[in-house]
Formats: sequence, structure tokens, C-alpha cells
Amino acid sequence: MTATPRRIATFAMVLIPGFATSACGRGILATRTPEAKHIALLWWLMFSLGSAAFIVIGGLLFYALFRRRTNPSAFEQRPASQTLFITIGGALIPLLILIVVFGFTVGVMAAARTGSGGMPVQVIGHDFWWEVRYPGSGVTAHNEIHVPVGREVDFELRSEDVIHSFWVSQLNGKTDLVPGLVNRMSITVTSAGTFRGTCAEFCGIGHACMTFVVVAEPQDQFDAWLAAQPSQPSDDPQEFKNGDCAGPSDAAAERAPEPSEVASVR
Amino acid sequence: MTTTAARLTRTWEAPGFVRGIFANVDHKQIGLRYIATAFVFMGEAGIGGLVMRTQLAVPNNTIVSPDHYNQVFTLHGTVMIFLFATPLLIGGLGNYLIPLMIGSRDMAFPRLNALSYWIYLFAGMFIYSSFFVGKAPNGGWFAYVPLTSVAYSPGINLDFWALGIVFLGISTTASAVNFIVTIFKLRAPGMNVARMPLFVWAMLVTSFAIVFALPPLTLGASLLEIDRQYGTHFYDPGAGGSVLLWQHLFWVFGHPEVYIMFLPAVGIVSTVIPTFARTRIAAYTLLVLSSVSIGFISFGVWVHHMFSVGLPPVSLAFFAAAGMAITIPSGIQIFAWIATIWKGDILWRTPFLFAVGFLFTIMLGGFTGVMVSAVPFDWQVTDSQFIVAHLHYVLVGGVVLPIFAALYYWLPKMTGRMLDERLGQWHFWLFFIGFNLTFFPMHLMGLYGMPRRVYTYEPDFGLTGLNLVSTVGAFMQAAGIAVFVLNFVLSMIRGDEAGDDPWRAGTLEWATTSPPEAFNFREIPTVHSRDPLWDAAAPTRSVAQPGDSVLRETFATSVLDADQPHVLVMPGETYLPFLLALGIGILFVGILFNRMEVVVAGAVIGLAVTALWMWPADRSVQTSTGRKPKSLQGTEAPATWGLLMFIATESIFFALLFSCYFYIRSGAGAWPQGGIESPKLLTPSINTVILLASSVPIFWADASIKRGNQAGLRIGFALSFLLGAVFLVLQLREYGSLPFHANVNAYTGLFFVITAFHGVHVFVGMLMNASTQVRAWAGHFSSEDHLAVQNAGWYWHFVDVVWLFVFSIVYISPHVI
Repeated sequence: MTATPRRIATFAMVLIPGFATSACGRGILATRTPEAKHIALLWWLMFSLGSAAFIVIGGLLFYALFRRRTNPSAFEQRPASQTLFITIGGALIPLLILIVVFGFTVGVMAAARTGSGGMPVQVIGHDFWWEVRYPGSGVTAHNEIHVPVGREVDFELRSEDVIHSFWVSQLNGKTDLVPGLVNRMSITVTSAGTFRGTCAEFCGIGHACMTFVVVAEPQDQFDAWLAAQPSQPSDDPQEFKNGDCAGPSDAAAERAPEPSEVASVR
Repeated sequence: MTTTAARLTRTWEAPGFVRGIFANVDHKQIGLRYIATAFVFMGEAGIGGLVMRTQLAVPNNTIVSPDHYNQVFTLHGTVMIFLFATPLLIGGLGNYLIPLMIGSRDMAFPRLNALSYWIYLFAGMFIYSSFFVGKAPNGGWFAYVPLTSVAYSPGINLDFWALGIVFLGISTTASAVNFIVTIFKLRAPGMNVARMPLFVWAMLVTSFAIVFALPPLTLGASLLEIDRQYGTHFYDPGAGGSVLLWQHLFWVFGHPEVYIMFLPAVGIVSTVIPTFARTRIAAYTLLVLSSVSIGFISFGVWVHHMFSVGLPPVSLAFFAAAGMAITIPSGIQIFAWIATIWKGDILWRTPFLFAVGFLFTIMLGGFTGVMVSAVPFDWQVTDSQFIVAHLHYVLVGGVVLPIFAALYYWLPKMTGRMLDERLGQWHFWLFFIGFNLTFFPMHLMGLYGMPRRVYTYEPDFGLTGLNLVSTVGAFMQAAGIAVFVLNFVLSMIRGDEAGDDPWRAGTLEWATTSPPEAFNFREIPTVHSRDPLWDAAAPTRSVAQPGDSVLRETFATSVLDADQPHVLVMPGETYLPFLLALGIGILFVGILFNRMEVVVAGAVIGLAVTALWMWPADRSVQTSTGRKPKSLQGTEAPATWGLLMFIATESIFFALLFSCYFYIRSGAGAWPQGGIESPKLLTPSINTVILLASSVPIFWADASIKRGNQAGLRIGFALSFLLGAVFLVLQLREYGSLPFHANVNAYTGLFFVITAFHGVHVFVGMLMNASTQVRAWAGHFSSEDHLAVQNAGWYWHFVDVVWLFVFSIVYISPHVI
């Protein structure tokens, strides 16, 4: 019988290092902006503290379960030392750790304040696609956001129908697109690449397919892309019905829907 | 002695098949029904979980359509939370165990208890029937507007959800009030608050959390349904409403709800660990304080779920701190359990195994809970699979594992049969490993960028392996549950006899037979310590005992010290709770299909049954002592506490409505919206005078009957009734003169909902007044017995006081600020 709880601990212990080393390549830890990097640092801090706490508390529990019980524990006879153990271990040490975590949290939040000096891009959420407007040039794109590398981009996020959420995990956390509100979020992409983005707030039957890409490219390539865009969006309808994903998201830009047609599909 | 038992059995047992089913008010029967019903719902929602995991096992899978997937995950969340975990813990275990643990013969309000069960059953059938007509709710368990508004979800799906939630809320609130009063008033003599078992403490805190947390849910869902059916605009930003209002209302409920489920689980663990460590719990007082403080803090954490909606950073930082603060009381609990295990001597049995599994998993769930309190990290992982992992570590690891610990621990008490140890261990390991395989990989999926609530994903996402592992884990969990069902069936067929106290535990439920007889205890024990069965000073026979006559009798004691026992006479079997639940159910079906005649039929049945309910039982019967029992008055009487709790939950309703009013107003430009004039003051001013004046005769009537003056009572109540009627007539005339309807914009909706909700309270007050008048004419009241007069009066005063707020906020405030 004593072997079984030991297996619990072994199970947890094996998984945790696997957990730590597995995240790479994409996702919230493969960061390409300072904003996302700060959050990743916050994660690693909390992950380290959490792992240490799990090992210490799990170890205490493990010892408490399997210690040799030949002599009656002195602990049992002394309620005062039990209370001290519980207060220090359960309240005081966690409090100190939380103060550190809270300090870092506030620091990362302060660093993530939205700026206003960058290039403005408007993103409007629709069921179930993304409208991207470049106010300076009058260009409108769909499901594909081009941004210049190394320059701050200020997103202005709105929704025309239900709540959506704008999430490119390598670039920053989510910001919701809430009907009746205008939300803002800024990023500065540090290296060129194509990044997967998705709607992260359940928005109905096409939620799983409401994906987009962010293409970060050097300023001259970006300028060239912008200049090549027609000022009127393509009127080729997106064939999106019954929630079937319409194919890879980066191809969707060529088949962007007219808003009226999407409304009729709904 | 045997004749005593025989007489008690005759008094307490529900004879006959039909009576036994539909008229039963025994808390143990009701508790068992809750457990069985909740388990059926868990099976159904669990199959839904398997469907989801099968669909996600491989990329681009097509087992279910996207819409079907949305229905399945919405039902899975809704059913697991509202129809499985909450009712099983509170209605099931709470009902069965609380009266036994505190040495009582039943709950404070046995008929209300039966009503809670029937409403739970009917509301569950109501919600689940949507699935069988292919119209299950599909907006997620938190049903965010505007997706769930009629513009984006035109089907009947969301009406099932919103109405079902409101319907079920009646049951949960009634249970909570019942538990609070039972724990306050029905404890055995000597069980002062410092001797209450920790499970009882946990249920007390949970019940208070329900009383305060259910109103925002009920209000939010009601406003949603009013928006959907009558075209109002509470949540419509196009007409002055607010999308975020729904999120605030939902999460002001939703976050406490997590602890409504978690605290009873904590109570279970705090009961199971000392029994199997064969020692007293360490730091009892700290554990009580941590449960109480978790209950409080849980109400300050709701924005935790709204970090990415674009709120100001200062408020985010506040809610981050509040979220992290819950770690402190939770840490104290973990260390108290470790200290208890440390000093004890372990007896490894299945309940303890589940408790230890809980300790390991809740640590992980707690750590990820701190992580998602860190606002920027939450921006990344909210609405991702990481949250799915976190919430299942808290709700499966933190709640379902303790539920199984509780079932292995207490089923022998309930059935009289032991469960098999070997199968129990199979169950534990299959379920525990399966659980971790299912949900641990979801942390990684979330970190990789996989959102939640997606019915499929692409092969190049790189998450195929993790998803497959997760699906395998889900089926292992299902295998664990199957072993449990097998174990239960085998134990009923050939399980060992449990005896009174198979675990040699310390609390009172083990002092009686397994299963307990209908009357629980032949003699109500007197308690001298926290673990009465472990002490040399074993529970003793009380000085005076409630009797074994034809009346059901138990003790009511004082709230803090549980002394001054009075004999309390309890109601017996009755069909009224079943019929009342049926009436309310018909009413909700009528609203669902928008059929006025059905609504009226349901309301008429409900009111008729309520009238019968208010009528006291045959008052000529003598008690065992051969004379009429002293009728309890004021704070001696459980009914007084029940009324106070009811008023508390109603007050929250009004406070929330006023908050909604100012919330909408703070986001509006001009007020009232849409160029509507501020309300005219003449009629409401007259109404204020009338309503305040109507309280005076009530005071007079109450004072009269205390002196034995019947005429004063009758005249006072009649006068007050008339003034109430005049108030309602004037209010209806005012409605007729208004140039707008409720469905113009958010302002008009608020105006009508607040004033009409108050008007309904005046009407209910008048019904209570009328029933009191009828009873007064029948001569039910005297200078010794006037409890119903007091309660009808208090309710009336409450409705009057609320009007002062309505008048100031709805009528005066648009003129002055």
C-alpha cells in the first residue's frame, strides 16, 4: 500500500520538467515582441516559484504520510508548534512569495501600457472574420495584418457584432473586441515572420475558424505591400457556411467576404 | 426501549409507495434522491465530455458538427456545475449529513427541503429536455451577450438556459436558507459554535455565499430573458445598454460559485483526514477562519474573469491582489491537513486515498490560480486551454475527488453496506491517472496558443499528440467511474455490514444506526466536545427529551451556545412541495413558449398550494408531555431566521438592480436616455406617503396581539392591506400615463423592471397580509403565539424601506444629479 501514493508523487515529478522544456517554437513563450517577452518572464518566475513550492509542500506531505511512526511524534503533543508550522508555512511564506509575484505583475502591467505614438491599425471583428484598416492609406485587408518590423503598432480594436478576442500568442496577450467599446493594444515586433492569430472569445458557430495571420516584414517590404493593395477590398465572397473552416487562414485574404454576405450566412 | 423506537418509527416514517415518493420530507430520503439525480446528470454531462474529447482526439475530426459541439460543451459546463457538483454537495451530502452531524431529527424546514429537491429535478429536466429536442443551449456556460441575445441566437436554445437557471436558483436559494437556519437553530444541546464539525462550518459558509451570490445570476439571467422575449435593451449597446453588465453580474455570481463547490469539498477533506490519521484535526480555529475568509474574499474577485475586456489598470491590479489573497487561507488549510497527517497514524483506506489525491491536485490548481491572477499572464492564457486545465484541476481535483472521498466514507452510513476496498483503489488510480492525463496536457496546449471552445484544430498546429493523450485520459476517467458504479452495485448485493461506526470516527452521524432510522436519534444527545464519539465524556442523554408521540419533535437551541433547548414540532408528510414545484415548473414552461394561459395556470396552482402551505397543521394534537408545546417566538423560532435570510437575499436583489441602474447611467451621455423626461414626482410622492403610512397599522397590530388584543390585530392588518392596494392602483395608473414602454432603451427597461419588481413585492406582502388576516379571524393568534404576525409585518416593513430607495434612485436622482 505504501507504494501507491509514492507513485502519485513520481507521476507529478516526471511531468513537471517535461512541462518546462516542452514549450518552444510557438505559443506564448516563443516571443517576438518585448510585450510578450515580459509576460513570458513573469511566467517563468511564477513557474519556478510554483515548482519549488510544489516540491517543498509535496515533500512535506510525502514525509508526513510515510514517516516512520515507531515513536509517538512530539509534534502531536504540542498544539502550539502545530499552529506555528501552519502559520509560517501556510500564511507567512506564501505571503512573501505573493508580494514578489504581485510586484512583478504590476511591473509588467506598467510596461504594457498602450502607447499612442506608433502606426495606427484598426481591427474590426465580424462573425467570423477580421477586417483590418490602415487609416493613413485607406487600405482595408481581411484576416491578414501586415506590420513593419521594429516599429510600434497601435491597434484599435472594435466589434461589429458579438464579442471577439484578438490573440497572437507570440506577440502579446489577448484584448477583447467588445461591442460598444474601443480597446487599444500596442506591440513592437522585433523580427520578421508570420504569426498565427486567432479569435479567443467564443463567438458562435465559426469561432474555431476565425483565424488570421500577422506578417511582420521590414519597413520597405511593408510599404511595398501597402502600396500594392487595392483601396477597395476584393468582392470575392468567402465560402463560409455551417462553421466549416474555409481553409488555411493565410489564403483567406484572397477570399474575403463582403460584410453583407456574412450577415446573410448567419 | 423498543416500544419507544416503534412509536418513533410510526411517527417519522412515510408509509406507502405513493406517499413515500411524493409526500416524503425526510432529509435522508431527499439527500439520497439528490445524490442519485446528480449522479445521473454527471453521467450525461460526462458522456458529453467524452464526445468532446473524441472529437478533439485527432485534427480536423468530424464526429460532431460545430453546432453540436457548441451545444455539448455548453451543456457539459452548465450541467456539471449547476446540476451535478453543487446539488450533490449541498442538496445531497449536506441534506443527508447536516442533521445527523448536529444531532437533529430533520432540517429546520422539511417541506421547503422537499420543495428544493422537486424544483431541482424539474429544472434539471427542463434544461436537459432542450438536448432531446436538438435545441440545447449553445452559448457557453457563461452565456456572454450579445452572442446569446436574440439577434445572434434566435432559437429557443438560450431560453432553455436562462429560464432553467432562474428556475433552479429558487431551489438552491431555498436549500441555502434551510441550511443556515438548521445549523443556527437545530444543533444538539451543548454543540456550541466552537464544537461544530468542520463540514458543518463549511456548509454554513457555503450557504451564506449562495444567499449572496445567487441573486446576481438570477437577476442577470432574468434580464437576459426579458431582453430576449420582450425586446428590452439591458445588454444592447445600440440602445444604451451594456455588454459588460452581463459579465459583471455573471461573475459576481460565478467566482463565489467556485467556492460554493470548493468549501464543502474542504469540509469533506477536513472530516476524512482526521478519521484516517486517527487524530484530531490540527488548528481547528484557523481552519474555520480560513473557510470564512475565503467566503468573504470570493466576492471580491470577479473581475479576475474579465482582465482582457479593457478595464482600467488600477482596478485590474486591485482584483489581481484580491485573487492572490485567497492563497493565504488556502495555504493555511493545506498546512493544517499536512500537520494532521504528520501527527497522526495513517489508516490507508479509499476515502483517505481520494483525500490525498485531492491534496496533490489542488496544489497545482491553486498555483495556476495564482498565475491567472497575475493580470498580464492572464491576458495570454485566458480563454485558452490553459484555463480549461486550471478549472478542471480546481473542480475535478478540488471537488470531484473529495466527492468520491465522501461517497466511500459515508455510503456505508447511508446504505449500511461497506464498499469494496480493492475496487475502490482501482477506481482511485484509474480516475486519478486518467484525470491528470486528460487535463495536464491542456496546460501545454494553452501555452502553445490553442484557444478553448474550438471544435477542431489543424494538423500543423503541433498539438495532435497532446490532444490524443488527453482523450485517452478522459476514457480512463470514465473507466474509473464505471468501476465505482460496479463497486456500488456489488456492495448493495453482497457488501459487508457496516455497523454503526465502521471507521471509528468522531462525529455524531456515527452514533446512530447505518442506515439511520427515520427519526435519526432515539434520544437527542448532549454534546461536550468537538469529537463527541472520541471523548471520555461521551454524548449523554439530555435532561428532557423531545417525545415519541404522534407529533414529530426535535430540539431548537440558541444560535451561539446551543443551550436552552425547546421542543420544536416538525411538519410531516405532505404532497404540497411536489405540487408547488409542479406549479412553478408549469409557469416556466409557459414563459418558455410564451403562452400566457399556461403561465397563469402555473401561477394559480402555485398560489393555491402556497395558501394551503401557510395553513398550520391540526393544532389539537397533544405532545408527549401531554400539553400543547410552547410555540416559539422571535429569535427562538427557526421561521424568524428563515425570514431574515429571505429578506437578506431579496435585499441583494434590489441592491444589484440599483447598481445596474447606476452602471448603465455611468456609461450613458444624457440621462434619461433617448430624450425621455425625468419622471414626474407627484404620484410617486403620494405613494411614498401611502406606503410609509401603511407600516404604522402593522406596528399597532403587532403590539396589539402581543397584549392579546385581537381587534387591533385585525383592524391594523386590514388598514395596511387597503393602503397597499391603493399604492398598487396608483402605480398602475402611473404606468398607463407614461409616454414610453419598457423596450425603448436601457433606461426604460430599468425604470419598469425596478418599479415593477418592487410592485410585485408589495403584492406578495399583501398576500402574506391576507393570509395573516384569515388566520387572525380563525383565532390562531394569541399573546403567546403570534409568530406569523411578526413575520408578515417584518416583510411589509422591508418592502416599505426598499421603496424609499426606489423612490430616491428612480424618481429623485434624475432630477438632482
